[in-house]
Amino acid sequence: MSDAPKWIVARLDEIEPRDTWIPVREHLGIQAFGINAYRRRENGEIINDHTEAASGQEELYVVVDGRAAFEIDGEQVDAPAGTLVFVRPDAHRKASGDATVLVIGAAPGDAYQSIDWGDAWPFHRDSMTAYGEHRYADAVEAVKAGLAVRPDHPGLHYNYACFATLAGDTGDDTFEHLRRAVELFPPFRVQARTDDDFASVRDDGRFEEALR
Amino acid sequence: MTEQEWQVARVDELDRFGPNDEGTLWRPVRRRFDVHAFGVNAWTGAQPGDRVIEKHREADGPEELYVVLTGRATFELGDEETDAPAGTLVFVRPGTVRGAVAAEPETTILAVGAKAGEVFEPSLWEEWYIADAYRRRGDLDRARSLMDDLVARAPDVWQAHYNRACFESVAGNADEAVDALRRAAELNPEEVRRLTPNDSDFDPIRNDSRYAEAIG
Repeated sequence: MSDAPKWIVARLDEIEPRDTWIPVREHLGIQAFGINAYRRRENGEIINDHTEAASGQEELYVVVDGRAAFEIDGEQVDAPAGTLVFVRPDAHRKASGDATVLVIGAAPGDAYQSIDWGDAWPFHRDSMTAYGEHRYADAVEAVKAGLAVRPDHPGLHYNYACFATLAGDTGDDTFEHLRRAVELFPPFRVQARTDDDFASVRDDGRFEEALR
Repeated sequence: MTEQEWQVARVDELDRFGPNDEGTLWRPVRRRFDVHAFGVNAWTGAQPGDRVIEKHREADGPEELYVVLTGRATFELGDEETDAPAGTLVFVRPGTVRGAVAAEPETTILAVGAKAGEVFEPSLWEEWYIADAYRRRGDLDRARSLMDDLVARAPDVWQAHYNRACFESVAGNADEAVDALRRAAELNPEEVRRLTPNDSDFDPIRNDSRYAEAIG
């Protein structure tokens, strides 16, 4: 038996945001599909330009308040509150404006799996900021600090391996973090094989060893 | 068939199927977009007091998240009632009795669901619900055609044959009705014997000697 409550009622404003997104799935403890809410960033962007080709996820965007402007495969879509935008994995999509957009996602043919960041989130955020600015050694330091708090967090182990590889540290320890990440969260096995962060070590025997 | 890479719809443009006996209007979303990865539908109560979400339990079923998009609903969760204005999220785990009634006009709730740890498969009830809605509108031919499709898709699901038997009986097609009822009874004799005596859809064939033989 699970101790999880049978139901949870929440309003988006009551859920502590992580920067400009609201971790709905984690807050409610949903395991069966992904769902988060996004709001306007300083640059006016709500949903960054991306595809879901790597994840294979279908995504349904629900504009719950305000008005967003979507651009999907180059086409403009006016999306006031009450608009539903369904996008298959390969389409390029982004949205800007002043709106709250709920995003529901999962990959057809796969049982949904996900990682909760919980109190590892601030370390993850700092590491991703450094990663985005190509400060890979700083990214590794941020992940290390996170692992001190959450030593069994699969996402931190995986990112440690990514960032250390990019920082040029390809010692055994880097592969041990990758091995541990896959052990804790098997979907990382598939992700690692196509992840550009590991391009420089893909032919290293220790890489395949870590994915066994 | 190529699938559309993306589609857009406004909630107020979604089809309305129903209302059923409780006033619930189903607004198909998953079916409209042909979503493969999770269940998603909207439900509307047009007037205060109309039921928006049928009171039900999803035994062994999906996790369900309800998002109040417009209006205001009163949710029934277990033995409790909760006021849920637009913007409220209600997450309900399997096994919990839940329902919702409109507290304001045009209350629309989006329901998202899937089973944790399992690959999502669209539920057959969507097709059944549409077929039933066409029947209620008096379009029995279209309802029967949809049931034929459903039986072809789900040849081992007793409810599909049972409901097809209902439609064929009402349409005056005794031969088809008896055949479908026989197949339903082969798949689930207890349920068919329990339901048929009080199901007026079978009144047109109740005196047909093959009726009693079909349900065994």
